[in-house]
Amino acid sequence: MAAPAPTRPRATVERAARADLDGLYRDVALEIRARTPQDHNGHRRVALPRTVRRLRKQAPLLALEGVGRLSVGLRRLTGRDVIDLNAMMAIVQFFYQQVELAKRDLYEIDEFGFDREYAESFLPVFRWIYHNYWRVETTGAANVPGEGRALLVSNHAGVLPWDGAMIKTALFEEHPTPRHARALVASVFFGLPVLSWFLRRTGQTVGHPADAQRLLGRDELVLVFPEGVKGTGKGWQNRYRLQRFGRGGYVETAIRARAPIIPISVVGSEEIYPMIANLEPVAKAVGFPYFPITPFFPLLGPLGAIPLPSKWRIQFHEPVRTDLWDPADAADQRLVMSISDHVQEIIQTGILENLKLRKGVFV
Amino acid sequence: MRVLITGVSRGLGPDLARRLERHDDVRAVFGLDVVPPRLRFRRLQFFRADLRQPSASELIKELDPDVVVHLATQVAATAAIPRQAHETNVMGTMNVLAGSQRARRLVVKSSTAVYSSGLELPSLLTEEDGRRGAPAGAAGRDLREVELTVREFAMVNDTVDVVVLRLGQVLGRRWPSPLAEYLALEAPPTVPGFDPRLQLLSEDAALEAVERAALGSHAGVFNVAGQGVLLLSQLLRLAGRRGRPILPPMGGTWVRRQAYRAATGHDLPDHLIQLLSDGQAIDCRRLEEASGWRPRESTADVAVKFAAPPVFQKAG
Repeated sequence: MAAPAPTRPRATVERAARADLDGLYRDVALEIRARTPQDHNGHRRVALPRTVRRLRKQAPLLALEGVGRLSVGLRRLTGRDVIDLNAMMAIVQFFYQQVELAKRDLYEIDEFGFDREYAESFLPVFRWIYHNYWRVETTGAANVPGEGRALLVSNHAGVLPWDGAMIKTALFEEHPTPRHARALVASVFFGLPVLSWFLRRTGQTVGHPADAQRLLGRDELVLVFPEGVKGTGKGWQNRYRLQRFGRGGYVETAIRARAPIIPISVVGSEEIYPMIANLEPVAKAVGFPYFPITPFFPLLGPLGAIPLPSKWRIQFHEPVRTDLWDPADAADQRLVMSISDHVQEIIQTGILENLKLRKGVFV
Repeated sequence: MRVLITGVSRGLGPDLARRLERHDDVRAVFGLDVVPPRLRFRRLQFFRADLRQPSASELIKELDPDVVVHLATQVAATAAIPRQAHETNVMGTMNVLAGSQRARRLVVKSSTAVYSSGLELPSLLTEEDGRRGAPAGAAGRDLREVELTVREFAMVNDTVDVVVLRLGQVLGRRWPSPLAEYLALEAPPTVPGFDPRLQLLSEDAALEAVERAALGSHAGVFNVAGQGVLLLSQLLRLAGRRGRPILPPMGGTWVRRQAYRAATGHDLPDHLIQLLSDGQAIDCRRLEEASGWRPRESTADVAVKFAAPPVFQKAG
């Protein structure tokens, strides 16, 4: 700091000096803080007795060993696997990984808020759901390009966007080069607690044409559900009937970015929460686009939020080319709507075919 | 070249004046403000002027500068009465514009507070999004009005190159900022269930952006912020703070601001309250394309530097 001008009144000089001193005090306080031992959360470290620490470290292993013995015993008694050890391991691995991830100091996220490591930590759980709970059968995964941009377009159903999670898992499980698909989500969800950050950290972003364009420009896979909340919030009586595909905005984006459109038909997502009614006043009050009444929700409370174990099929169709047109043609509404209709038809036909291939809703 | 700086005594003002003094082709540096600057300058000629008065425009006309740098726009004011900030921002800008018609260049300091944090906007805001939706607070509304008058001025006076800089969240230790005050709290309040994306700008980069705008040849509206984003939780951890999730997740900005006041005894401007839940990230490619320059420090660099300051800093 330069010396204050000599003509300045005394009070001003004093105030200036005090401000300088305050700054110095703050720096010293910060330095002291920086030198006190702390854990990653900034708490002072408290030493626990050694026995307690050792026990705490070993507890998960002991628990796992116990479950293993129990599983073997039950198999001997009943003659089949009652407890799925692989699933147990997946869950344990998941929680361990969460603890590890929480310790990271300055992890990398992209501008949309995507945290790759965090997103991939959910894979073991989704993998188990994919194979064991919904027993998803996927066909045509090779239609998704191994590199470069593409716009994945799918039907949307089942109150909560489990279909998005399963499509993303399918790309990891069935594709020769696993890739993250970045789903576009209705903007209302980003105003809701927890979802607001969870969606972003796992790679989702707002359903805005600019976002889609930017992601495609980086040669990413972008997943869209043109039906939007009209698809997830439709009643049981409308199952497997595609709702209107918006105004075809996704086709415009694909033409502009010269990205192939890959239609996807998902079967099984309609039955996970059979929605009997929609309590609109409640939905409005909590800021949700719909409030579903299913046979189990809200009757059984949080238990009712467990999805039913329907049998799923996912089909990735052959790409619909968009590079036949000039990016400027994206403004041609007739062209856009005709391509959108074509895509919708492929998806609807795919749904009906896969429904036929499925032996029953739950088998 | 003769450069005039409004709001020369606070924030960016003194440092900018020092930087401009070092350029040989800058023949004169004029500074306007209501209070004299605390630092001593080599060449700065200070004039006490209240921009809210029409006489300010007469003074600017008389000084006849080639470049006018309008830094007097207030963004962070919480203690000031909003009505007064409005006068300085809107009437002040009108008077500065009235005096700048014969200048060659005009640089106006704006802020990313002009953006609405509405959910209908894309994840990365471009300069075009600055007119969509409604901004969160009084400062944002003021700046919208300021930018509107500046745009009209630019259309009428096509001999003047107009640059509007929308500065991102500046975080550093030289000037007080609401974000630094927030991080100085023992347990900064957060909104449970929200972990917004933030983008930061270093003090040096903010200065350099204004300096380059004053001396360069690019014109238009530009976003300025460091590369990349950081989550609020990451910033808090870096700063050695543990967030206290006490702000109501439902209810608007007003409710949260009252809760913030009640919990901390401090105040935070509306746009920062909104930042705590909705976050903000901007696209700064336009500035780089137009001027070939972008802030050297990324958002993460700014945060790291703020969290671990060198203890003994040399003066100047």
